Amino acid sequence: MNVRLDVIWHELPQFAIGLGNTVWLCAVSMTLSLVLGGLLMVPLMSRHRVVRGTAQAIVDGGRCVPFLLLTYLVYFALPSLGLTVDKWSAALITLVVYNTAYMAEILRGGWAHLPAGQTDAAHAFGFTGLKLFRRIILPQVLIAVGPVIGNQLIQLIKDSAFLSIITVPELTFAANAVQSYYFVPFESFLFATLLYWALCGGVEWLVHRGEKYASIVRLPRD
Amino acid sequence: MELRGVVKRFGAHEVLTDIDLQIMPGETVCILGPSGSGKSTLLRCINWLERPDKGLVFLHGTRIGYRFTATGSVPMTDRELAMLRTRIGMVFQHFNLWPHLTALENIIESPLHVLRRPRGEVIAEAEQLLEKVGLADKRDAYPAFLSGGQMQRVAIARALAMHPDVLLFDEATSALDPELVGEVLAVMKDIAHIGLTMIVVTHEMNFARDAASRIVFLDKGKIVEVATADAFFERPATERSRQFLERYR
Repeated sequence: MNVRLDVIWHELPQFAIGLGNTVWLCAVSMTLSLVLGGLLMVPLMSRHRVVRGTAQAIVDGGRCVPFLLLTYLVYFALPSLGLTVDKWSAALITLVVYNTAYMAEILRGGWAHLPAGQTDAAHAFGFTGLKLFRRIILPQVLIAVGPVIGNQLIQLIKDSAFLSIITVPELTFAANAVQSYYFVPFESFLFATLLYWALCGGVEWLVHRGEKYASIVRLPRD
Repeated sequence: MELRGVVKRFGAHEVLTDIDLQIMPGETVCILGPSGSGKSTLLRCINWLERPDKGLVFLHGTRIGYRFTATGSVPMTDRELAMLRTRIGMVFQHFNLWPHLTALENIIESPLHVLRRPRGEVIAEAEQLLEKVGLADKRDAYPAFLSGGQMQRVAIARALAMHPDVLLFDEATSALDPELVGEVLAVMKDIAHIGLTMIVVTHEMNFARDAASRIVFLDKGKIVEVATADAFFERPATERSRQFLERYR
């Protein structure tokens, strides 16, 4: 077999654009999902059953749709309701909706495992409401679930490959375009795989760094 | 500080029955009693971490948990309750330091963000407090790097930084290794001597004997005996307290 590295070299710009799009789509939707998930975590932990139930239903609804199907729903089904979205908006909406549900559930789990004494102490020292959440609960929850969020980000990066179906020019789309033009599926898809590995490896490295920090600011559980 | 007819139930179980107690400013009151007698619950009813089912709690004449209005008393808002709680310091059995903050940050967190006092002043005071509890060198250490005794001393400094009217100790030495108990009790004795009002739930009989102005003996959710430390340890008035003390001799 004649390995056509020259094609990969020649098409580097296209791969770079694809990788760039994958990175910014994932970064933006990750950030948005984290913020929205953080907001959604509050009703998930509500004392009121109706509020909690509604939030849980939304979260489960988001988590239990296959990512590809959710992409179809947003891009192909919404227009029949009169809501036409371009492929970029559809990509972002899908990524954010899907991951917000995961983030909310991950953060809720972290909060539920926070020792009751932490909130007791905060109450005893005059913290309430938003201030209690922001200064005492949220930092500890984020530290506790950091690695899980890292894993979710890796999942998000891989899921984003499905967006090639709706012609978003991300990395998988670029690889597919190159291979179908030059008939070099092996080179093109392998190179894309290497780039995904590098990207996810970078995330792993960040998670590892975060873990080191977390071990300093987390009490050992006995 | 005054409790009047306080009752607390967990489900059908009555944990506290008709608790009446008055505590004068500057007093150190030790609450003694067997496990499960309701000591900790009594303490937690004072700062409303547990809401009593019946009865009144007053701090300097202010009723805790309810506000008097023209139409009667209404439950306090979370914010009103929070402001009242800042006047009641609390030290917990399991320290409950905030692990994401250093020793110093733990101490300044509430003065800075709840009481909104100026940063420079709060830090200077926190450094003095760390000095006082013998932990000046642990200023920037996170709780994970402190021993139990050190964590509890930081927790005491954290409570003192609020300038509370009354300081509650909930079995502050029960979770500590025996060799670390002494350093915490020493700090608590120092505080008793400066005349801060203290309510101390403890199993440390020697501390109670040395530092308490009065002993409250609790059994099965009822106050069985209230006496000066001398009287309680030398001439316990009830059979129940005699039995209890026997076990500590």
